Amino acid sequence: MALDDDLVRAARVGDRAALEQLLRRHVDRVHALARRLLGNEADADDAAQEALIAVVRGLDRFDGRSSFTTWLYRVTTNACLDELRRRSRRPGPLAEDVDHGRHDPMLSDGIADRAEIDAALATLPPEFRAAVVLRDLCDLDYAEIAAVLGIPAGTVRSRIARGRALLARRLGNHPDLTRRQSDDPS
Amino acid sequence: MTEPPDPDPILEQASDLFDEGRTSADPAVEARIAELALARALIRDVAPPSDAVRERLVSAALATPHLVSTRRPARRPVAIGALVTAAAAAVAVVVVLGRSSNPAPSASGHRDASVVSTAAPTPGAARAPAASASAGAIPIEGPAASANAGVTVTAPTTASAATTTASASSGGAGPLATAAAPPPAPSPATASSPSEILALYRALAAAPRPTAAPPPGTCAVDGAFYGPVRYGGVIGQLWLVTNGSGGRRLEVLATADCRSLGEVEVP
Repeated sequence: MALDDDLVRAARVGDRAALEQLLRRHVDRVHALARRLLGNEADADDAAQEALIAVVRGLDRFDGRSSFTTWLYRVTTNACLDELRRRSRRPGPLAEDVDHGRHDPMLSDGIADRAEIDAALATLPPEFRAAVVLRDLCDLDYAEIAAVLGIPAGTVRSRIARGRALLARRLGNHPDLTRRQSDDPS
Repeated sequence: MTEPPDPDPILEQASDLFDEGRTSADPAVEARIAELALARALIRDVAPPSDAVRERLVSAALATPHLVSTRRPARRPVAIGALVTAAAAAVAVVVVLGRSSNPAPSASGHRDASVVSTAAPTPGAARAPAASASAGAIPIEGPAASANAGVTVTAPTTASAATTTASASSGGAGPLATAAAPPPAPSPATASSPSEILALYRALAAAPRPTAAPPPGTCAVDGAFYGPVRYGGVIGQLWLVTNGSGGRRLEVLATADCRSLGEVEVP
């Protein structure tokens, strides 16, 4: 299988098949990151599309100092943060309006869990949400997250820890967590 | 949205250990690590896009014109006066249509013009390629000049441009540098919204198109360079880009770094 760098090089000189292969290889992770940062499918679709278009347009400006994936995450994260800023300027339901704790027995566990995590993540400020999601979903290390977000690694660590603290608080009444805590002898 | 609290020492320790893939002998810390693991599992449990969405995303990206930066890694110092004169010569409009991955010239010859348009480093050179650029220029079916709806346009219809066009149309073999003095540098047109970009384009498309090159050393796009424009207070370049399905889009790219300042579809 061709390496990302090889595909990037080929795409830069007009190899459409290489570009398509590159896009297909990464479209799911771009969408997943957008989905977790934005909390709903419609916005994730839009942001993922913007991100992929930005990748194609910016391919010549990718300097190779980071991995292609890290750069891809940076482009996607920026597209999502832009979307969040746009969203904050238009009226809509606030994150606080979401019912964070109710676990609808009519829903399957999987769907309910997804709703829970969306609601919990929605309570985090975007910069904290991005740090946590880039770590826990994308498996980036602190240095990579620092490069994506343009902040020092120490700030990344702090944002992740604080974001997780709030997340744990919000998820505290999630049935699984509640059960674990009640089972905890300490 | 809530400002996250400072994590308690146990959670902070658990967060660090969790990221390092380590465990703790302290049951309280270990319980926190278990919470973090569950939260991570929930975060990762994200449904992939449907096949239809995936196809749409990829198709949209593939239909995006591919911008090619021609910025040079290092530029030779050039006298300010020469730059000003070159910029003045470069404000005229060259029409180069057709984004294509096919390196062969299109039937309309646009790619020829595009190649010429990237090199105009000196005032003399800026005038010299006029004939070939003009020969490759193809008119765009632009709306009438009356489409200029309230936009202040400094269209590149300078005397020198008219001179170069005339020279080109007479065969291009005559002396090109007959203009005694460089033309005055026009101010970039100004636009502040997508609709004003569109109006600016319509005005420029309706105007006579002299021949010139985009500013040297900045961006080259597989499309039509329509001259400098100030958009949102930033000096940029107006380009018309045609995608593979024939759709046309106007883009304003920052002259300094080629980033997109604004864009609008051409109806």
